[in-house]
Amino acid sequence: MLNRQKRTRRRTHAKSQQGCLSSLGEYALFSDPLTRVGGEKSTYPIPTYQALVGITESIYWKPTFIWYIDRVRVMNPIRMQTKGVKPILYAHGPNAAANTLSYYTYLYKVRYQVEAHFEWNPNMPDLAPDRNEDKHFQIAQRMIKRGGRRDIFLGTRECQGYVEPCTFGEGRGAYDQTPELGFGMMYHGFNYPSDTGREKLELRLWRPAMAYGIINFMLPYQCTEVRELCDWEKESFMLRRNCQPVEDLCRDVIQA
Amino acid sequence: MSWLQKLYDTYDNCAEVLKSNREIVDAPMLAPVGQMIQSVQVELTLDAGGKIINARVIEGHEEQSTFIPCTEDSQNRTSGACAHVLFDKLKYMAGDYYDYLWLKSSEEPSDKLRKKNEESRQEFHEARTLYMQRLNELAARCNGIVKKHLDVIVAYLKRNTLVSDLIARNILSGSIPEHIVAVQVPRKEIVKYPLYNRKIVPDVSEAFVRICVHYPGEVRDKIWEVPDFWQSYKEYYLEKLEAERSTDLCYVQGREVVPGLKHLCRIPFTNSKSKLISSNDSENFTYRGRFATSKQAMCVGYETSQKAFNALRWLVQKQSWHEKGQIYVIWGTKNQRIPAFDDDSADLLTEDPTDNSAFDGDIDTREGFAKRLILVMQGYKKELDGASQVVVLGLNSATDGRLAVTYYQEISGSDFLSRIENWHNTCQWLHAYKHDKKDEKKTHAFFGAPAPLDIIKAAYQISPADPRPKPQHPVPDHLLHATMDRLIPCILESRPLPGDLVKTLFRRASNPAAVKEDSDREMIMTVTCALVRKYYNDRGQKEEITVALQPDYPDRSYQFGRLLAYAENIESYVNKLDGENRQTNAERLMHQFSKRPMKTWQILESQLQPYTGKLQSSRFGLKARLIAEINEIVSGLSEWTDDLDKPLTELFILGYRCQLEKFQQDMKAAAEAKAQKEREKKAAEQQDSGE
Repeated sequence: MLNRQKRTRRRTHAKSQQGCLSSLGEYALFSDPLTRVGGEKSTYPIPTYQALVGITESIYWKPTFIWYIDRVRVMNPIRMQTKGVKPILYAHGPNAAANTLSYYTYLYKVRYQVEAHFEWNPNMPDLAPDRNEDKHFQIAQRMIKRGGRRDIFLGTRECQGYVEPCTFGEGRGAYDQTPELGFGMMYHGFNYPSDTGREKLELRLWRPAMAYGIINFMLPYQCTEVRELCDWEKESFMLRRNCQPVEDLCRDVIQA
Repeated sequence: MSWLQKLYDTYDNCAEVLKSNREIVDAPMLAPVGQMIQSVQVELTLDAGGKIINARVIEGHEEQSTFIPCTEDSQNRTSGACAHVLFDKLKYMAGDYYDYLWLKSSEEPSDKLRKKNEESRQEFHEARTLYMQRLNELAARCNGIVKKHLDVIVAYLKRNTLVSDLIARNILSGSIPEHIVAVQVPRKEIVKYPLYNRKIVPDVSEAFVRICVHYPGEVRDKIWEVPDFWQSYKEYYLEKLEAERSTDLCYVQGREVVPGLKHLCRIPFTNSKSKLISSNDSENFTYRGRFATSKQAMCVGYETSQKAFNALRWLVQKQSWHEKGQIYVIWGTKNQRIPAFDDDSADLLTEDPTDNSAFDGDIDTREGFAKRLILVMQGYKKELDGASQVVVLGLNSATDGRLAVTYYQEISGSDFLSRIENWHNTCQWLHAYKHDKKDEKKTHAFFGAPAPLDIIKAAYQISPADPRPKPQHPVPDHLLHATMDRLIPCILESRPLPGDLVKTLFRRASNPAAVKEDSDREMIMTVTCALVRKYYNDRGQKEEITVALQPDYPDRSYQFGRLLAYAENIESYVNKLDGENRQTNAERLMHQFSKRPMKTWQILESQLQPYTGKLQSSRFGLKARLIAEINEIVSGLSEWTDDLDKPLTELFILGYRCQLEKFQQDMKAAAEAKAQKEREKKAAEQQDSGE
């Protein structure tokens, strides 16, 4: 499904452009935190916001901007499959087994259409000179076509995924006729200090609902159920100190 | 929605069940918040003044089950000393337990033993002090009849005379004090003191004690059955927790509540300690990494966890399918009556599991089955409509101690019913392996879908062809679980059947020589037919395959199957005439036939010669008809342009089986016609003689 990416609309409240991508894989594991602590990971039926942010960041990311996921369309029927796994025990006694046994429950044969946009990160004032909307948008677009800068995974590292450009809403989805499906309280994502400016790690919860196969995401700052987890240090990025603008690199290459 | 949320909702919807616990004998009990179900072996009855009226050993399992209030720690206790709140083991409840044990001991204990005893005594002493203190607090907080009961119990326990009282009442044997902890006890002691029977409790010191208080004129003397007491305890304990812990955001409710730190274990069965939410791995990297503590990694409220897991345990006991550690529990969120997914059609259509009457009816015909299925489904539809919801939860554990969610699905009530109905309507055949409910040796015929477990057994259970008496090899656990995981979506989500399963069944069915028992062969055959038919129909054939024979079905394999059935029929018919009972050539060569039909048919045909010869001498008309029909099939096959000798598909089995069933029907019909004719003849003769 290789379609030309379409620029849909400009958002007014912040400088951004919207891009669409289709992400697919054989397996996905968007683990439910409740089952994850015990080691028997079990997946949520739908992707979490944070997992999709992870995918977009794998495609292309710079500290200058923050990716926001607008909505996702579930294309394939939600199916689960359980696998027996042998997770390694890094800390075990001299006579104890080096691994344990678990059941992980994965989503099987998934395909999503994702609509996302980026906004400048207000907590990175040092990077203000890098706020060149068209540059970042064009790079992101090219990276989607090439399948991302880093490898893509769906939720958990072992679930390799792939991305392609697409047009949101195109093609037939398994839930096109399903009016509304609720999923209860679910993990939304983490608030990292570099996104919020607060030196805390926080966790967001929300109640997603899928209508006709589409889930419209609440954006991180709209979530009301937020749980503070711990103190977390903010990263700092300074232009020409610990990151190099692509313009400089270009000049260097040409001069050389 | 999440499974925890659904369980929580179910608990709230089942408040009525909570009240009527115990009203139905042997029904699984739904435990209130903060209470657990425990088998209690000793019952003491006090009067209002704290005097013992009665003491007895409880032997019936049903009567032993008691709600006992517990704390989060005591509920999850292992070897350390940690008391429950009201009723507990002797060593916590009896203040004189340790005194009694060693002071009266005839032998002088060794130093090492003495030291160990002293340590454990100290530990339990502390646990008991805490226990008494908590009990006092609880009694002070309650009111009404609950308070009166608790006051009597507290006053009694303060006297520290439990063990001596039990000895005086002949519950414990006082003659040999070591018996209190003895594991092995002489037989004559067991007769006198039933508590020493290891079937009741493995070790007397492990025995639980409950105390009734009898007030004159009061019917209720069992405090653990009083809903007011449950409520008082819940309030007391929640307040205590609130004082200890700061509230936190619950991941299930999405609001600030008192968090639960340890979650319920012993979900599937009371003796297994497996947990769905566990967080005790503080060394490895299940949550460590991004998080430092398990508290950071997640949070579920105490009440949420209690309600959800009590509901789960109740549901698992009440209506789950479990086999070798794998559990599937399916329930309506309002506790509606739902059809079991793991039933075959015969069980689905007979509501009473001990009832045999269904087999007397017309359950073994297509029409009878269809009529009955509609009726049964209508019964369920009264409670399950489009607005109601059915939840399917699959659980399994790879190691002791942890339970994994392996399947989760929410289905609307009407969808659920229509999918179950669809399964029974599409995966049907005439089976004959249903065991009688009372007499295991007798089997019945029924029409409809096989049970999932029977499908798995038909596909993978090996019944040895070896003549030595050997138990059947059961299906290996992992294969059973994996196949079940794949069959569930076929039934509950109307997904197509897994092709490899159908192929496996086909291979087994087309090789009857490898299966020893006739009954197993029969079962494999009919189960295969049911699945092959569903598999092909679901894939959208040009012409739907019916259960009845379709002589003109345009498929090479189907027609070859019919051909083999003719050979089989002729041979077994002649064998029967000769009074012989041996495997036919057709059966022996069936496997070969399915691989190279044309070549094998040539062999079969020559082997068939002597039989057709014998047929000639007995029934000339029959022979001519059969040969004509065989020739018709063969000529039909020769029109096939494909390579005739290539391996047959699964449809071969259907053609074979249908044709055989047709022969049987014809024979039955002929016998009936003959009997009818004779009856008429007799009647006519009688009439003649009468005239």
